[in-house]
This record gives sequence, structure tokens and C-alpha cells, in this order.
Amino acid sequence: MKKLDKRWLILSLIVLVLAAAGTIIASSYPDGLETVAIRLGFESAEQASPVPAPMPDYSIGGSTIGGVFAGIAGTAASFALVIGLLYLRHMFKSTANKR
Amino acid sequence: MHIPDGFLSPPVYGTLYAVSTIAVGSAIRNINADPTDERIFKAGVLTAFVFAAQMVNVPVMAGTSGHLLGGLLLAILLGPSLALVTMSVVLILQCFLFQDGGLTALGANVFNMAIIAGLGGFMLYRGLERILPSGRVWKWISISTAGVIGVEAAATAVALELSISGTASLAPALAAMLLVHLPIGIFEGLITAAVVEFLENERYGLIKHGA
Repeated sequence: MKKLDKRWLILSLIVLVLAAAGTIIASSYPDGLETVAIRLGFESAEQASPVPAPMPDYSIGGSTIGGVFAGIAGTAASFALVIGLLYLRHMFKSTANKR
Repeated sequence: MHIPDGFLSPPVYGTLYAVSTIAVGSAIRNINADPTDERIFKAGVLTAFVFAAQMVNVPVMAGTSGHLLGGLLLAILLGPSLALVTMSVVLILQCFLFQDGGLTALGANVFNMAIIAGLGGFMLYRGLERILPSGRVWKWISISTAGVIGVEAAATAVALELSISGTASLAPALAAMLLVHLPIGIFEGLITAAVVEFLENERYGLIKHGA
């Protein structure tokens, strides 16, 4: 295995800081599609999700620390899910080749 | 650009679920199944970056914000198949954990943001790279152009989906979507070009293609 460049770990830390700060520095203005929906008057067509999400709008209880936690949780989850998926894919392919 | 539940009609979101499922399925088959640990780690970190960057909404014009989509960035750095898979991971997590993008619209959101803006932008970037001279400035120009046109193409797709669903009429929806997403597309292009330049720098860059 090729040794991982240490600077990738520094980059990971930068991503973690962005994840923690993300919900704090994010603008609360509506996004592009929301703006269009408001302007054209179809924003009321939006329906509640059939399955409630644990951290709607990247917040937990509306506190700053809840937002920080939600940001880190989502970022860590995307990292873990991609790594897990690629290892599974790798394992699956290895066993398929042996047959 | 995340479409919530209720904006799309069942035939529209059903079709786009089917298209996206087939595309992501074939992308999973296509990704290099024998990656080094380093490549797997890179894919994880870059996906995490895109997730975090998508949370940071930036004001783009009076009363409107936008954020990086990141599909073009992932396609340039990881290749189109892995980019489609990792973008889908981001969109699935946003949908299920944070209610960003509706459950019924998940297939449409993958289609618009990962396939149209991400892979479509990437194909345009590849085409421009072929016809333009090489060099740093030209690379900025082709990535920025691919960012703007990819985002505008996705905005067009959203307007079409809304009008076919009967949620909005085509002409005003298309005009408004294209207008508000112009600065968002420029932001997408410039941030993508900057991150690619930072990571692929010949002397100290972390990503070496073909190495």
C-alpha cells in the first residue's frame, strides 16, 4: 500500500473546520429554486416529507451547537459512507474474480 | 437547487428515479474496483468536502443564496463514474438526514445536480480542453465555462420538470431559473477551478493524474 501523503490529513482537518463552521456562516437567504418558487407563487406546493428527517435544515433544536453537530455529522457520514461503499465494492469484485 | 416533495408529479419523479437508478447502478459497476487505500481515502475526503461546501450558502444577489454543487469538481478529480456515485451519496444523506431535497424528488435531484450539472459539465470541460490551447489560464476558462453552463443546464432541467409536472408554466419558470442560477453557476465555475488548481498543482499538488 502506498503511504498516504500527510497533507491529506491536513486537508481532512480543513474539511472538518468547514463542516463545523458551515451552518454558522451559511446565508439564510432562500436558494435559487426557493426564490423562483416564491417569485412565481408555487412555494405552497411544497409538501412535508413522508419520512421525517432527524436533523431538518441542518439543525438540532435550532441552537448554534446543534447546527455545528449536524454539519460535522453529515460530513463525517459522507466520508464514512463513501469509504465503506468503495471497500464493499472492492471486496465484492475480489470474490467475483475468484470464482 | 434541491427540489422538495410536492413540486414534481409522480410520472416526472418516477421517470427520473428510474433514469438515476440505472445511471448510478452502471457507475458503481464502472468504478475501478481495485483502488489503492490512498484513492479510497481521497474519494472520502473530497466527498466530505463537497458535503460541507454545500452547506455554506453564499448570498449571490438580493435575497437569494447559492452554494457549490460540486459534481463537476468530483468528476474532474475522481473521474465521472466515481463522481456520480459520491454525489449520490451526498444527495442521499442530505435527503434522509437533513430534509434537504424531497424523498420523492431524490431521483430528480440526482439527475439534475449529479448527472446534468456534474457529468454534463464534465463532458463540456473535456471537449473544451481538447479544442483550447493548454495552459493555466485556458484551464480556468474551460472549467469556469463548464461550471456556468452545467449549472444553467440543470436549472433548465428543473424548469422543464416543474412545467411538465404542472407546478409552473415553462417560460416564466425557465427565465427565472436561468437568471437566479447565473451567479450561482459563475460561483460554481470559479470555486471548482480554484480547488482543481490547488489540488493539481504540479509542484506541491496532492493529486497527480496518471501517477
